[in-house]
Amino acid sequence: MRRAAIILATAAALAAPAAAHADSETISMPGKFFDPARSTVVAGDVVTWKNADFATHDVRVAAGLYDSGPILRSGSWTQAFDRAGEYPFVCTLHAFMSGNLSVVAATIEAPQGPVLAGGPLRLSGRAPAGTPALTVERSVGGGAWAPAGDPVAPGPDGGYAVSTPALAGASYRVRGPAGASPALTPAVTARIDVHVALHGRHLEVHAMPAPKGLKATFELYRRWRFRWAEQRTRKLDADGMEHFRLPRGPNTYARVTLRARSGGPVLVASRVLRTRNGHTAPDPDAAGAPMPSGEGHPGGHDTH
Amino acid sequence: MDAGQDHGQLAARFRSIARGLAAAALPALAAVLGPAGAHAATRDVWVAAVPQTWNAVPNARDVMHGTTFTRAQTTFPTVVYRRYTKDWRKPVTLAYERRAGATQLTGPLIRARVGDELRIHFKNLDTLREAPHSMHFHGVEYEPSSDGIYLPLHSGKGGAVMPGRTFTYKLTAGRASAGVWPYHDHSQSMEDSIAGGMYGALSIAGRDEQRADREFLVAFAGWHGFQTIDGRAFVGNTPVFRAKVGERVQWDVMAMGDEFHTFHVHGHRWRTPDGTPEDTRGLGPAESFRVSWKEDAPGTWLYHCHVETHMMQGMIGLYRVDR
Repeated sequence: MRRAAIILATAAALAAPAAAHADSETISMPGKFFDPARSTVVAGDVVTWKNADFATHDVRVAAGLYDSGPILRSGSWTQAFDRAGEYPFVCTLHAFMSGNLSVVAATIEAPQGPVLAGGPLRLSGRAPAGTPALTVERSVGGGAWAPAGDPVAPGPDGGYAVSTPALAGASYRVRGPAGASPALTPAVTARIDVHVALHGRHLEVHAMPAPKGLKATFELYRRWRFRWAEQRTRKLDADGMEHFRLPRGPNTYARVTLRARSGGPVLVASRVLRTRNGHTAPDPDAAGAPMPSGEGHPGGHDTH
Repeated sequence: MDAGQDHGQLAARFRSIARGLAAAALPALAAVLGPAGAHAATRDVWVAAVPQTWNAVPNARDVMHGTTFTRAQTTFPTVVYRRYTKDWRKPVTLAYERRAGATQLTGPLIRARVGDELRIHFKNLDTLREAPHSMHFHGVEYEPSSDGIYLPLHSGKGGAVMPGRTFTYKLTAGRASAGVWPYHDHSQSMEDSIAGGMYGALSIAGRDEQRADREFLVAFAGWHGFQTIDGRAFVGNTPVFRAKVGERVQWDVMAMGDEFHTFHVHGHRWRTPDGTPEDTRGLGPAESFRVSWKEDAPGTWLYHCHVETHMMQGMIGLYRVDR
């Protein structure tokens, strides 16, 4: 049973992040302040202010659009917010007590940490319950937006999760019938630097930045086969570090390539080094010499 | 060691006993058979025609000219001969075949000695074209039923083995069989089959001949616009043959397809039967020969077809000789 419960919980977390599930928000007054002072909810959500102080408070929203009247100790006040917008609120009894509520047409979130450009960017969030369809939009410059894929159908509670190719520098938002979410600019890294150094027979690898799950493959050059041959693949640690041990054998060249997944395309290759001394060497694959200039060979230059 | 060798030696012992009995009854016959029976073996070889997705240029490059290729330009589905263990249980490549550079496009390198009986158990597992196939052997002796040719009203089951069916070809390595010989599909599918790679070589040693320290297979053939050696094109992809100074090396050379080729090895010479030194020899479709020498030239050498357009299209490889 416990195992089943964990699987269900995991499935729910995948369907939509926990934060996006809330359809009600509680703002506490544990003293002469609001906690949290700033909140974001989706249009249609209800917000409850709870007085956990010994003193009486009240809540005046948007200069009197909504007014709670006195809220006694342990009392509370609930208000629904159907329209997107900014709703500053204060306690008129303690004028220094203030907060702000953002009501948005939808929320949008991206995973923590950098995502590789061109790789899948997982966006998730929540729209008002019952929203039939949402469109993910990407900024295209000049303040304009363009759809970044087909419309997605959120769950009954308005939660959604969608995967779209990550573009460095782009902002993303979702648009539904109630309007667009705030814009989100995820950390997308277009370039990863991979450093390699040989210490004795240990080849140290350091990738920066290091998106989660990045795989490093240690390769040796087969001089008689004119090709790189994969030796070992390992996942980089959280700091983007890993090391490999060089086998004893004939002098050749070594390098490390990075991939998002095993067998996937090479994202970046390290410098080429000589296994004999760790010194930098030209890429042996580039040594397939085109004919000297002036003696063009069909297919020699343009296809290389 | 050949998979059929153990079985072959056992069979040879029985044959020897049988011949011993025959000799008691028929002394005249024994005088003919006796010497041959001392060495001859029956070799069982299991082969199937199987689909194969083949990449002629796995390193995706012609390094000598700086040309690169995509996988789609060099990889095609085809049907090939593949050696199997007994009763076609599983595909297998023997150690001597690996050392000879045999790839999984070229069929098994079948070894025998003069006097041996060969039983080639063939199964058609072609699920790609679902075409009939056969095996037709050069250089050996056989009855017409084992000729492996398709001729309506004349040929038997061995001329067109239908998908899923089997046939056993019975061959004899006769007195004139020593050497290297091609075999190939000779059914009604032969044109497509040979172009796709359905060929291989027989390597038959003399009755008392000592085998070379190294045996290399060089099968010249066109393949999807490339000129290939053992189904591969361009250095690094074609076999990289290796030998050591002092070893006797033997090159088994054959050609299939519609073109003529000239076999050339850099830095080496061999002698023709009349004693003339030679470093290049030509051969046409289904022709074959073997050349041999004692290695004395360390270094990295080229071997290739000296028809230059063929060389440019991939018919070239590396030969490494270590001290």
